[in-house]
Amino acid sequence: MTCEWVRVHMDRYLDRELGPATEAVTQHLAGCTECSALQVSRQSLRQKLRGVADSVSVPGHLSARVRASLDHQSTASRWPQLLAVAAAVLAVVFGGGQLAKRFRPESEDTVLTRATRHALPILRVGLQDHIHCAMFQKYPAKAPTLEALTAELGKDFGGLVRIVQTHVPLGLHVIEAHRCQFKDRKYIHVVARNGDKLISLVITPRGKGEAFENDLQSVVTEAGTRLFAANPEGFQVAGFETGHYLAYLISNTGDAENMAAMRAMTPELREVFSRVEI
Amino acid sequence: MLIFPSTGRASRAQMRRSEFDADALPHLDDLYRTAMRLTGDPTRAEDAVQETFLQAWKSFERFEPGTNCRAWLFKILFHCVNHQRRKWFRFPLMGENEEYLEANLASPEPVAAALTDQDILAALDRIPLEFKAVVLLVDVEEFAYRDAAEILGVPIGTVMSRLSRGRKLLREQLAGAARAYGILKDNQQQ
Repeated sequence: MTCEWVRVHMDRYLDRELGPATEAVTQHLAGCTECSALQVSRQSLRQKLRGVADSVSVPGHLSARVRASLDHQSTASRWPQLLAVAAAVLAVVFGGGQLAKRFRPESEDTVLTRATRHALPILRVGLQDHIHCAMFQKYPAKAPTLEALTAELGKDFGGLVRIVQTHVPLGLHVIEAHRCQFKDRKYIHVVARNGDKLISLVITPRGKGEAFENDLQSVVTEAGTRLFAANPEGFQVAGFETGHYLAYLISNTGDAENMAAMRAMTPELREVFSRVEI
Repeated sequence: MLIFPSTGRASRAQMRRSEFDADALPHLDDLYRTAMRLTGDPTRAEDAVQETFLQAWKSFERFEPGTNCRAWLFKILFHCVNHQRRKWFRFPLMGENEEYLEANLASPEPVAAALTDQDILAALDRIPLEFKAVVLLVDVEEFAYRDAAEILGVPIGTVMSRLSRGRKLLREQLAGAARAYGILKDNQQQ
């Protein structure tokens, strides 16, 4: 074992992450003054760093503030139940039919037609799947585990589940991942949700001549990839194309949030595509 | 005034809340210190910590007892801080192309004993956030690489390369301070 090898791996040794080579490094350090001086130097710097970081004082009121906000949230979380009871009572008193009519949600066809009627062709491709699956599919009350969803997408695309969960805006959780077909087009679809906030990663094979740049101007370049964005009918869409695929991130989370998530995902999505496009 | 009359027995929700308080709140100080170093601002750090506990409480049903509660909370904290940063700067800073070997070789070795706390804090705060985050998790909070990778949602190889780069940057910053004190000459390397 050379001094250079020990020097390169010194930090991993101190981190106890060197594995089987640990013993050999320990022996080397016992007989090498230079390397053991480096060990002492690195170790003392870490101790100093730890000491300094720990010396930051924590505001005395913070614990009380956190507890109070937790108490408030615990109480607030009961209100939806109370409102549901109140709504049921009102429905009985004033007639369930009238209420149902007034609050009846729009049908899938209505939303789909309105959203895609004036949308650019390249946006329509992703939007229609988001609306069909993410907005109108019924999900199980308890979302499957991320592992199960990863398995659902198979070896090549299973990694998308983790990528989406890692980069979606705060509070959203992946609840669905599947392969689907809509209007003769195949898709891979990952959905994350938090209440009424919904975000979809939609991937579909790129048809002949299809390109974002035909319809839109790129707004930013991330990891060498030109990203495009648009807001058709209240949806936020960010997307890019590779040689074989179109990728969309579609949501109602807001422009900045949607684009920030897409930018964060892009390098890892490109890695996934680079493996399947060989 | 009580909205719900007491039954004389702790409700299931109260029991869950007690469990949460016992498991999660002891980590408040570590979370705040890390948030403080990440944000550089006491108000934002407090907000991030409060949001972390609120998010943790919301998803406590999904937390598996016996797993690493501390790592779980740090993961939420980093999510919260990233979320805040997106608001402050519109987009997160991402990207790295550092080489592990390059980061480990040929960096000056500052003498820790000769440096003040202020030198170290200032050096730490000058490191780009993605590198500082890993240094804080591994060197200060003593998380294993695997836990740090889980917290940051990146592969373990990324943790290792960011850590090497972050430590090298820190040593370079501190070597600058040491040179200013005359305890490390220009170009001197141990």
